[in-house]
Amino acid sequence: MLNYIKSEFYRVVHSLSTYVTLGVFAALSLLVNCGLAIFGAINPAFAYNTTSFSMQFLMNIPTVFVCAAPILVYVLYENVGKSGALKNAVAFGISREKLLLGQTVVSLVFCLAVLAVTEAVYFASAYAFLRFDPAISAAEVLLETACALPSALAALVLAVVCVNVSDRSFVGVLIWMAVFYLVPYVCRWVGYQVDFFADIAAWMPMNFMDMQNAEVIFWRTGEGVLKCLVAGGAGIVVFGAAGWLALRRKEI
Amino acid sequence: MTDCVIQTRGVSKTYGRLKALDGVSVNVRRGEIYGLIGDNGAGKTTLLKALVGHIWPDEGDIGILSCEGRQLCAARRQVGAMIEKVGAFPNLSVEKNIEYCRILKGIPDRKKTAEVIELVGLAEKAGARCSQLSMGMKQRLGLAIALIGEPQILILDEPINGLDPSGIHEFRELLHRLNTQKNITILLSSHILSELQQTATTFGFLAGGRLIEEISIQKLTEKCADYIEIALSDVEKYAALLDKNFGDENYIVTPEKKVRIYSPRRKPYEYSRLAAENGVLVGGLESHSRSLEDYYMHIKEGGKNA
Repeated sequence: MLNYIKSEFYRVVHSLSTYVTLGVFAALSLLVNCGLAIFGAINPAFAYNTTSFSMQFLMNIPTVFVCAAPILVYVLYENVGKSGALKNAVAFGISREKLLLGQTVVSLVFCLAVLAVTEAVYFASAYAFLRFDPAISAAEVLLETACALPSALAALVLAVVCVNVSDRSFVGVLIWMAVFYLVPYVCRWVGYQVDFFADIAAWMPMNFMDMQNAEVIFWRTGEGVLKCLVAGGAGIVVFGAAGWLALRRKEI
Repeated sequence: MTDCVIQTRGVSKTYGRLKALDGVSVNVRRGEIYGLIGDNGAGKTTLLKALVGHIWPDEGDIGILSCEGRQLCAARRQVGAMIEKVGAFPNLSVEKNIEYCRILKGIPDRKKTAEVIELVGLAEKAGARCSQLSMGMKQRLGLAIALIGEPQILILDEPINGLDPSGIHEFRELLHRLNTQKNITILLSSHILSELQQTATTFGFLAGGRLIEEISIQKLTEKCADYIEIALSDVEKYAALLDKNFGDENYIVTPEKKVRIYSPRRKPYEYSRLAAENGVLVGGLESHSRSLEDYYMHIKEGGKNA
């Protein structure tokens, strides 16, 4: 499996799409802060060209870390099924379980690299172009990121499974969206009538990370951090097990 | 059967209502070039996919290099395969695709990539993206990927599809070199029978998911050779006459009490005359000539003991 991971890293490092993706993510984060800075320069009354508002912007969308995972997995493995390269690995005697684990490791490293670069560009551009305001610092966003990571990893595992299970990557993305968006949404709505579903819905990342309906910032409370860890851990186990069951006898 | 490097026993595979493989038992011996012959849908690719682990048979056992069951994964590391389309990343160059496979297979020597590119004749296209290659070049890349691990066994599905005539010639020569110089056992499928006839040393005929016959090139040559079959009133006497008068003829007496002369050296009327001059009545004389294609069509229609 180690050789598979090494070969995948070789592919990732030598693929143009890797750098394009990295560039797009970095450019988007740069764009947010540049946009705020430009608006501030044009309109002196514009109050949002501060580092604090920039950090607040990220704090309001913790689900961005979860949603980025399938996009990055899609970039890495969209063509794997079509190219037939997976068949080479299987024909060489690498089991499907090891392929799944290897792809998860490679995706995780890639996602962390993209996250590191994107946040570095975001913070650097915020502090370089915007008016400094100590109300909310980058440390708050880093704490948010750390708490969102287990759920993001669960999303990543599910994305790797979905891309491999479905012969069409697009269908895989739809499955991912159904599990990560539709199921929590349905549980929340049913939960208005049935308490059991409300209890379940409360532990689903897309619900407890929804900052628009949040009364407290989840990573600032012990209960919130626990939810992040438990929900993320459970997701990793459940999606990993589902992937193992679905892929170990999959015919390619 | 200890010299068998690939052995299947009663392998069956069903897709919905279609029985793609029905109790197939093949024996590929070390050093052979085994040609799997069959029409489209005969089960060639299904069998090869089962061998390399892309699919699981519903019934039956598969053995590779004396390994079965869970050990097959380890045995498959000695197998290079090209099944259906070439397993390459379209946006990577030829060299990088092969380098990827070198790393995947854990081969430490970086020179192997250049060697295998040279071996399959892709040196000039080493920097070209896989998506820019012609069909024939992709086939070569597939072969290079299969060869990079220095495998003991090569499994190739329709490997000459898309190759031009000189490419086919080079490919055939390459397979012979790999077989004789590196002692690689090769299992390949094709429906281009004339090509397989020049390449393979053993043939397996598949039709409707069943293995109809497994036959060596020697026996096949014998069965496909031109022959004259003569029905006679006294077969033993005529056999003695053949030995005495036409001692250079290769003949057999068939179970139907006919004399069958392979690759006859004389005109048909000379055999009739020999019988007539010695008081043996000729009931009938038929000339036969068959290609591998004729042979395949014949056994496919049920004439196994042709």
